[in-house]
Amino acid sequence: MLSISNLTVKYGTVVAVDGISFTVKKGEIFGILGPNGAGKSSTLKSIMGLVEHSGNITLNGKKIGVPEKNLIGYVPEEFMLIDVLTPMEYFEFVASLRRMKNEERLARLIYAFELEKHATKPISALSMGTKQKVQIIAALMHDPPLLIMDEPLNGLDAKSSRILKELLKVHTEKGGAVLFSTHIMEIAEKLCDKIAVINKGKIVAEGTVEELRTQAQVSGDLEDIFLKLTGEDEYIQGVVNALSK
Amino acid sequence: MRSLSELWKISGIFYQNMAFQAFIDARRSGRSAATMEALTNRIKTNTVLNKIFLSMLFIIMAMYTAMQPSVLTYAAYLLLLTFLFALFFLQMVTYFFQIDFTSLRIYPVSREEEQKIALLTFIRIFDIPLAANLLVFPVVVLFSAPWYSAFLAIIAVLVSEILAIVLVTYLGKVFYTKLSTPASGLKGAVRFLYQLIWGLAFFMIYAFMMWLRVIYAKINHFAPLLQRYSLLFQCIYPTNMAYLIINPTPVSVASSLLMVLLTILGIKWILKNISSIKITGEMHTGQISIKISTPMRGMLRKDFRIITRSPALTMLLLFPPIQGLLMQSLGNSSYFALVMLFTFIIIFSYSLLGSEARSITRTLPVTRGFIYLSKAILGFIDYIIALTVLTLYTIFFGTGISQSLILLSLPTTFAVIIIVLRVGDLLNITKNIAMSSYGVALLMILGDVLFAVPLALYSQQYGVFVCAAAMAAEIIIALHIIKMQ
Repeated sequence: MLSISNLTVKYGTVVAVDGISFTVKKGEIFGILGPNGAGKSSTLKSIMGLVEHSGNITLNGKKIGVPEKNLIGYVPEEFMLIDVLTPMEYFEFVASLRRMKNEERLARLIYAFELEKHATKPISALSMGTKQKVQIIAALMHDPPLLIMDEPLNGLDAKSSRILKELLKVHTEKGGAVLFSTHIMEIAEKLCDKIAVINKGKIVAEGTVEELRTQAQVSGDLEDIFLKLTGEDEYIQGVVNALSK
Repeated sequence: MRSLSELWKISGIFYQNMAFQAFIDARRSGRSAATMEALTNRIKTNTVLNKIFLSMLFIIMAMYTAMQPSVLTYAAYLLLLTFLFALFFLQMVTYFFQIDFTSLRIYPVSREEEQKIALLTFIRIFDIPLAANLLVFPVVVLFSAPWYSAFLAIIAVLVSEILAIVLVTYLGKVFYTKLSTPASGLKGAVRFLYQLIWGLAFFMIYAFMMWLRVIYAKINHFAPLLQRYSLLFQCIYPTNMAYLIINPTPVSVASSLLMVLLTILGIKWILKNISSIKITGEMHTGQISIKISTPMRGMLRKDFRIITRSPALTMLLLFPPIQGLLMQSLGNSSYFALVMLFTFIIIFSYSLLGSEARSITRTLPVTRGFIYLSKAILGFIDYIIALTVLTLYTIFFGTGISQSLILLSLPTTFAVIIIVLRVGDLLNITKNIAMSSYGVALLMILGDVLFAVPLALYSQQYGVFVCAAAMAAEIIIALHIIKMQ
């Protein structure tokens, strides 16, 4: 479904993403794990055309142009909303630009995420969690085959997090694909079919949790695997030793 | 307890933040961290320059008054002072009500200090012009009246300023409540009406500046009226204060004393209102229903909502018709009036593009050409509104803009807006807020030239053909831009 090859993102002289390649298949939840500044968000932004990049990005074999954007639902890490509009007005705007035919799915999503009572408040007045719900609904409302989500669980309460996780599972069961970044190991471990560990702009390991365990030669959970693969385990041990003195 | 100078310093931070917010709201374009320092410095300078500009305006008014000292000119000065003061600061006071002083509560600041900081921030809004008026007008009065008149002039100016501050505080609070609450239907229309008045305040200052000489030239026409109803005018503001300065009578002294008492009550009212700042806007909840339409209608509806909720954009929407009317009323040629009007169409359209959250539209299935087209449609609608206003002016006053020129300008208007938006985008002007003023100036010049040339060619030999060719070239370029991805 989504194929990324030799993707490079540079901000001036800083290389944020350094020639990475991976594929997200239909029915798959693909997680990108990495420490802060590893290049996760830059990778996702490149797919949406939000940052300048080099390399090939294709969706169903085609470069991502205007028509392909209707096949994607994107949740950015930072809020990309129009503050003066209410959530309903924002949904109306997005739905019109996406040429949606009806609002049934939108109504169901609003109900699922309990957004009714906030639907007519200005977005600027909403809490972080509610703003995140608006972004998630706007990304899901047209039922796109590919979901790209950058830390989608940020700010969400336990109930909404659970609903989103269930929605993602249903989405892939129906043949859709999900690419998402997270720093929460438990979620990645539970949810992802495949994980790419990214560090300093490069993929250091890729596969299922079991495959990553083999690559890292660690018997613990995903956190242990991640720390080993990113080389942060030694650093942490050093810090712990220093603090305990 | 902190000293007054410490509190004054803290209030400066809130004031700068308020000025920054006003500036950012006026330019809803992208901002980059690299330009923020330059931008902050520029806002600091702009804020002071604006106050100096208003003070200069009052000094000019005081000079006019000094040239022909009379009850009427003094009264005109005090009245203009009250209204211009209130109008000029209306927007800033509205922003004042947005400040959340409770943020100070996480620091070791007492409630009393919090209120003092709020008060000092409020005073900072008016400081320079307030002081300038108190100095300049009494000095002007000294040229034609005894020394004690200068003292009475200080009282008169102070009363007028407090009156203006009471007025602007009341309006600022009402406008803040109305403007900070999104609404639809009838409430939405009322809200938009408030927005228009809020925006018109700015134009009224602009109009006053242009008509100031005319006002002072014609003021003495009211002399017979003043003589006939002298007793009445000694009772009412501002003529009572003018009498007090020039020719104090028992009636004018008594009514002026009453004004002073009212002023004291006004000060108490201001203190009460600014120390109990809270958001009074209601939050409405309602039924869920959305209207899914075509992409263009969806985009236009969204833009219209942003315009009606952004005071800055509402003002820009109003500027072209008002500019056209002003140009016509001052006797400029149709050609010049149209070009000046179009300048503001460029600013409006460009600001709409700047207000477009580019990162959002990039993730949606729309082309860049589509976005230019949507902004050009709104710019064109504004142009049509302006032309309609000018046509009505022509019908009522007999003289006005040439109808053939209006028709001729229509196709080029649309094409030039699109070309200018594309150029602005290519030069990345909308992204760089600190550079945007120079960028807008560049776009204005480019737009005016592209707009004016075909119209100017029309009156030349073989003008029809040359004009048509120039317009055709502009339209072809615009169509090419619309088609781009």
